[in-house]
Amino acid sequence: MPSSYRRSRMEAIVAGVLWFVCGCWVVGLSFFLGYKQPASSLLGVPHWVFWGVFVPWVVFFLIHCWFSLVFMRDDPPGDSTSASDPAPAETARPPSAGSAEAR
Amino acid sequence: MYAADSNVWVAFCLYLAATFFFAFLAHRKKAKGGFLEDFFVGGREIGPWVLGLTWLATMASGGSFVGTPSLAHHYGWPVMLWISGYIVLATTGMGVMGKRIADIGRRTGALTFPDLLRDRYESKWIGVLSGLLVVILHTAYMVAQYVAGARLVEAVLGVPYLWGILGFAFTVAAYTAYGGFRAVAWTDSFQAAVMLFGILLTAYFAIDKAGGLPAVFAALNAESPDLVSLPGPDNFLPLAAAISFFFVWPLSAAGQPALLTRMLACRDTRALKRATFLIGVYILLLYPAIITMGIVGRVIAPELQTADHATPATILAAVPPWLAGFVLAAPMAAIMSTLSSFLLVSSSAVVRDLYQRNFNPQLSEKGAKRLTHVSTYLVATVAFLFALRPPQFLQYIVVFAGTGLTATFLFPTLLGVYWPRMNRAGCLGGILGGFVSFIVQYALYGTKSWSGFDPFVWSVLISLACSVAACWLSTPPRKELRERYFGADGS
Repeated sequence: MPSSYRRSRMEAIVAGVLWFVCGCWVVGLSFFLGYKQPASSLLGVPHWVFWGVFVPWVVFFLIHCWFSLVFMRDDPPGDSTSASDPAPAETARPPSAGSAEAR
Repeated sequence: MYAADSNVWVAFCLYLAATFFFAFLAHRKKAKGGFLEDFFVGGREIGPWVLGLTWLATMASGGSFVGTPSLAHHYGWPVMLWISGYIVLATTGMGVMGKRIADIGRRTGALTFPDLLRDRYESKWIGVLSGLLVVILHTAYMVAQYVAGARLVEAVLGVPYLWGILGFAFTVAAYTAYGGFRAVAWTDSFQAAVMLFGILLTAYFAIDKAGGLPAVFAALNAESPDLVSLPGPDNFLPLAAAISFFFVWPLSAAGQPALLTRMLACRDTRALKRATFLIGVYILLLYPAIITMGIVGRVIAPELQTADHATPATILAAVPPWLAGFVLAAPMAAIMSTLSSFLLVSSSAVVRDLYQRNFNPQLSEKGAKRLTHVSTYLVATVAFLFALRPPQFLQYIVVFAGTGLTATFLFPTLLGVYWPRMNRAGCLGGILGGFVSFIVQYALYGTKSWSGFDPFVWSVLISLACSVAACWLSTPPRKELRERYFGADGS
């Protein structure tokens, strides 16, 4: 079972990949459809907005649902590093105390 | 002033009364931890609904509700591409660092964003530097909120600009100082609901009044084809700017200290992932409606007294008078919720990161309470003074402050929570490289830096390069520290 750290790192990487793919679709398609050419209307919005913004918005919303509800994992309380790794030294300090002053 | 009647005053007063009621309820809730933990992170017991809604209300500011519709009113449909980074905002904003920050916060007891950096890098100076930058850039962001709020009440209630800023400054500072994080989070949740319903209603009535979206498209195309095609009037969005803003919005959400602080307050990861889902739904409903409202506003309310009056003018032109007062509370809610969150982050940086942890580690609960109240009013006063001379387009301050914060803190935080080798020198290099390059580019080139990209894009890359270079040129963090944050992966 991967540690909470590794799992969070994997989720961050997937979020980054989704951002990159979405950017390529949105900016790329809008560039080809919307720049330097007259816009036509599709359901009352410019066609480049429909295909370049609204459609990817819906598609990536569905992916977001999967990401947040399925892919992101619930970590049980106290699982800070790994279920299988030895637990690290806990260093939590009283929140309002100014202990453990740094260098 | 646009045509508003007494209904607007009544609805606005009711809205303010409800806001104070939620702050009062939050204040009465018995604190479980000490004063600072309860005041700054709500005792770390915030559930998914409040977490999601407070995150949204903090993120969706006066810029979203007043500045962005004004850009859409002025430049038309190209603004939809300008804002398109919001498509993945929930995924990046919560998915990149949310869970990790929440986990580290629970284990180390961090109360503020500079607390996190200070402990991770074991450096008092990083705590002081990040605290100072948080206060400076958040104050700039708060100036934008004051301007937005004052312009709104000037437009719809006829209240002079100066009195409008004073009213916003006092009202928000009062309930923030009174109830702390829990009051801010609860009022944020109420305000987020007001924002969503207000904008959806306005967009519906505006489209209906204009005769439908095809009629709006035809009207804009007849006025100027630039309003419906890219790059828009006055070369508003060249390709480099479109790419820049697809960087700006999702990364801003991922690295914004006020948003990351929300993670410190969440109860557990179950609450966090449900909040992540909720945020995606909310953004999908809200942002296309905001832009559409601004665009349709150009057709039904073409004449504006100042550039930032597009939202109130559209609401008063489209929404039935009996409903207009309620709907006008939506932008007020956006402004007040962001203002309160930023005020809290700034005052916590002053009390916790600049004072308590450097000069008075044994600060008593009573002293902390008094100092927190004083610093909240002090920060509000400073932002008020800067807001006395507003710029033409509000959104530009929002973009400056928001992107400045992210350019400064994104990589020092991201690498700190995911890269065991990241050390103090890397963090300082990233903070200074990002902040200095951002300021220098803005001073020299304005909003279009090298190759036409926004200064944010270069600053983030410079911050990354400085972080990695400084890190490799210095010694790695000690083994105990790596293991504390990364377990076996840090060995």
